[in-house]
Amino acid sequence: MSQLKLLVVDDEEGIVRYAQRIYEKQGFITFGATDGVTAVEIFKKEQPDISLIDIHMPYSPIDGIETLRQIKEINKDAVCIMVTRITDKTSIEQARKLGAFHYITKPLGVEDLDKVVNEAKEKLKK
Amino acid sequence: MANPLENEDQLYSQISREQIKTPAILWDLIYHRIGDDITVISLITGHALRMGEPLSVEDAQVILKHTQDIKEILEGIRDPDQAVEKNPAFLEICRKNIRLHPAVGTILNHHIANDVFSINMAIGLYLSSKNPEAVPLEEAKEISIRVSMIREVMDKLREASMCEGGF
Repeated sequence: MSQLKLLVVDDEEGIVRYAQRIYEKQGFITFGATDGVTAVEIFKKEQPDISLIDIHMPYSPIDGIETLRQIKEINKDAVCIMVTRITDKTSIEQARKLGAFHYITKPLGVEDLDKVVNEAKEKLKK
Repeated sequence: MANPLENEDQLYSQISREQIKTPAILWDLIYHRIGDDITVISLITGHALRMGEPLSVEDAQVILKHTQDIKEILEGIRDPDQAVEKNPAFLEICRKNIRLHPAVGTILNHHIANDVFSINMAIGLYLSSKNPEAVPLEEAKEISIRVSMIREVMDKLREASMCEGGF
């Protein structure tokens, strides 16, 4: 498999930066965005294989659910992992309906991320 | 991990017996703000441990910044009226006069504040001099454990005091 592309979207800049660093070390080509509009632009241009999208982004013009919706309009098969908090059941359901591949809840650690990213990689192989 | 409070078991019993519930808006704030902070710290320490490298000065400074944010959120939850002047996240909590029950607040503050203080101490030692130094891997491991403990306390307390049909 050629080098996979990963897009990380979170309005917490530190999460974007450090998640990118971790997955670059694992051989991914990574892209980062701290708002949904930029994320959709990057998606159009780079067509990442996996997108990791924070749902709750109060400082973004569009939230993670709308970002997911727009990405799915561009590519309905896009593999999107949604990041949310456990207290947000409504958004989890919305994301599922929009075709999100998986969701994980914050706070999260490297192992949590690895688990879903590896599952996404498996899906891409099929 | 922070040592348990002397009366921690009694406090959990009280939460259960009196069916003390934490309003969803408070857990939402805790999981959003503190959740983001400890996610960043986890990613930094997780990377260092994986690479077997000390924490760089820059990474350690980022961790300090996030521990400061956690402290501010804890203080805000304790005293939302004061916090709202600096932080609009507390606006609705103030407007609706929502408060964390003292039993829940005592456990939450004790554990998170102690773990955050320990992280601060672990890092501050290396950053405080005129020539800040990288933080050794052993300290990164300690910080990683502390962060896991914070997650555990948040989850345990949320489950103990969750509202009906909530979360």
